[in-house]
Amino acid sequence: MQNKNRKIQAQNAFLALITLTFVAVLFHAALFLFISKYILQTQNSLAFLQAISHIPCNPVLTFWSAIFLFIFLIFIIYYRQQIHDQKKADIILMGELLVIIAIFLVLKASYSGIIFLVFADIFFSTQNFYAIKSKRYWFFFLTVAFICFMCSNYDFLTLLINLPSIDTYIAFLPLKIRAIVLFWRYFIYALNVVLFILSLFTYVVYVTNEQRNIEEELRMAAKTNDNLNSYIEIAQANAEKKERIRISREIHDTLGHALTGISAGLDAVNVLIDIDKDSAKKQLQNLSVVVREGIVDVRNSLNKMRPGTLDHNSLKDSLKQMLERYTSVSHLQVNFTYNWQDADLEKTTENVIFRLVEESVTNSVRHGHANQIDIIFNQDDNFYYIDIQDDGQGCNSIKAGYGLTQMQERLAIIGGCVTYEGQDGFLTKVKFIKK
Amino acid sequence: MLLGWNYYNQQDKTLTIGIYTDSSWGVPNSNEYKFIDYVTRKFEKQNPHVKVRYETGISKDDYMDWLAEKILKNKTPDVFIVPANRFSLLSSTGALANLTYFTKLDHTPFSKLYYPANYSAGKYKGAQYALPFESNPTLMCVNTDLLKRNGLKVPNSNWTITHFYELCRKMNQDTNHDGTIDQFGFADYDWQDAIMAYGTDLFNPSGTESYFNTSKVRNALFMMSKLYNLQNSYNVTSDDFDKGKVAFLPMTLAQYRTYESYPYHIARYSSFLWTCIRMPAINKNIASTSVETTLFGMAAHTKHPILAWKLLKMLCANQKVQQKLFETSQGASVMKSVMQSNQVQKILKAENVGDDALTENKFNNIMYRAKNIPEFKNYNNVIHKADYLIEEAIEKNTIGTELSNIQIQIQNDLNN
Repeated sequence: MQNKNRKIQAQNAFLALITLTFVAVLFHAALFLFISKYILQTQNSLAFLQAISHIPCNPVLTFWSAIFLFIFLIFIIYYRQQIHDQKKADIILMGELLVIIAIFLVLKASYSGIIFLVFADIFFSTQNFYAIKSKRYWFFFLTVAFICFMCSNYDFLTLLINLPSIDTYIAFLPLKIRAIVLFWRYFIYALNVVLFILSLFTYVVYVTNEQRNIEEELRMAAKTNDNLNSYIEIAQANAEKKERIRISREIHDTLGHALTGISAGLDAVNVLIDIDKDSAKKQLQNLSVVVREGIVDVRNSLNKMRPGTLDHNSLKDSLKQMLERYTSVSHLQVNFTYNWQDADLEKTTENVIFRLVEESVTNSVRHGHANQIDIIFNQDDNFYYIDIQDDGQGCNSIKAGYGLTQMQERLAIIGGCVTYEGQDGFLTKVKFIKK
Repeated sequence: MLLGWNYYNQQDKTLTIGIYTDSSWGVPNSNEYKFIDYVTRKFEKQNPHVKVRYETGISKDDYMDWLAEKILKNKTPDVFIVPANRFSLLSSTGALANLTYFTKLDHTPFSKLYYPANYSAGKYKGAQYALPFESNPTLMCVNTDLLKRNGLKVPNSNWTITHFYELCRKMNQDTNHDGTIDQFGFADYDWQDAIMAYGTDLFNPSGTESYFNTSKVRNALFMMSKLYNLQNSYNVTSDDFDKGKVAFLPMTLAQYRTYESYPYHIARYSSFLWTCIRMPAINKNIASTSVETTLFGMAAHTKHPILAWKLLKMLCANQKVQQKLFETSQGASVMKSVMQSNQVQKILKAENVGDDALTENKFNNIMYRAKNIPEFKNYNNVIHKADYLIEEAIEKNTIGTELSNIQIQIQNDLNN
């Protein structure tokens, strides 16, 4: 809130600077106009022509073009403040500088105070505070400022181009009026310097405050981030613990029971086989049933560990649901093309593919910081293909970590292979044989 | 584009000329608007959609004030006359358009058209800003009757300053033996003429350096002292020449032509025969003749540059127009072909009552070794001061000691 006031202060100072410069431009344009008239009336034209280094152009034209250009300048400064596209704003800023230079030249370099408007304009339009820190920016700014400052001096400028000097004009005024004119000329100039310093000062105060505020906010965000990370770790540890308990119970309930039964049954068969072959046979048949039941139980347990969505939906819908979860919570964009319409895949295969896509997308987001992922499922007569391409950072050398190794192992089960490319984003190519 | 050009040509346009009524050379001229009316009629005939306008009643003395006012009002005439010593002011302030491109695009070989001194009078910093219009060289008038009466031969144009001095020395005589000298060698020949005779410059072209303390200037001024001392106790003027008591008098061509012709001849110079020759020099290769050139230039901000250029060319590079100028004015044409034409030679012969007309040969001899009077913004002030200091030194016979001091003072003035 306080900084908003500071911003308004800085903007007001800039506004005051523009207004004062306008007054100065008006003053000097009027000087040219009225002194010209005065010289004509007092019939001093020839003496004036002898005194001046270059013939003046039409003073009426000078007067109106200076005013017109300044109004145009105010209009484009206002327009630039309304747009937010930095590149466009920079181009308009260049235009502004050209208009200021044009005003300066139209006034025959008589008012060098206009240079402060150039400085202020460049300074105030720097919205990117971090750019101020870059060396290139400073080099550019200092060069422009240096050239502008050199050229704002009439004596220096006349070495390059011929311009009539305002001092020659003023010298033709009667002594009393000359003193008054000179007083106002320097008064305006001095006031301009003061206003420039003031506006610069308020702006610098505003900018430093703004920067401090941003840093404060960043620190707060970092703290919150830390908290979230530790919470996630705890949640993950909890989930792992629960899963371990569930798996052990599952093994205990299914395989444990079955294996215990089988081992007891086998012991019995071991005894029976010598006594009563038929009973032993029957017992073995019973055991076979138990084993089969055990297999069913194990399979059921495994099915419980399958991604839940695959139980009820097709592979395509499951993938879609999973991807939606990503796109709905982040700015990630996923283009999913599915051309496996007639595919009849085993549950294990579906499982492997589902996990593979999930792992890839996770990697793209986590490591590649990708904004867009294209996933294409294709097939030909012999193979199924999956291409997963992101626009993230990619990487030059791929180190197979746990995730990628697991992906390869999983694919090996269903007779497939995987290749990676990290040059342009990250590309995962999967291919496996049709059965 | 072609249509636009066509349209432009069909539109009625007005060109303005800035010109003064009287002579450029300060001699009486009764032909006021004869010449300019002839040119405007000719130009309007050739360019049917163009009207040429000029303001009447501006005298040469008021002309620069009038022009400065026009420039200040941004109403500079499209084409205007540039008086002889005002070229540097008008070109350096940017009032004149740079004609370099026009002269390059035009097929006229301007540099061959004019006498070198005349053409270079329109050059500023190596670029052509104006074309020469009329010129006025200085000649040495000789009372041939007086020389012959004293048993001396009239010198030819290749004479030297030593010869001049010898003749002057012999002319200094007390003819009626009353104890005062009543016959003189020269009148109005001053130290600047002597400097010209030695072929040296007092300033660089831009007027930032002066060269008073050089051996050539020193020698020239010593010679001037000698000449001065021949008749130092007498104030010999051009009136004495009119009375037939002086052998030599420097005079501009315009004065020569004016006073040679009716009615001035009767009033002033009916009692003796006279002629004119080149100003003396230390040798015949020195450019000892100073020449003034009036020029015509184009306004830097003219709206009709092509038409203005056409008019400019008509004024300065048209044989017939320049011939007309020679007839109605008293200076010399800047065009070689005009000065060499039969008509001009006829006019000169008709005007001349004296011995030896200003023949084509003699004129060429003078004009090919002529030099423009230097011209920079401060020239008039500086030369005025130098004139005062040097005249004083010659009178007091202190040239030898004063010259370095004069150099310092003049250079100081140039620096400020």
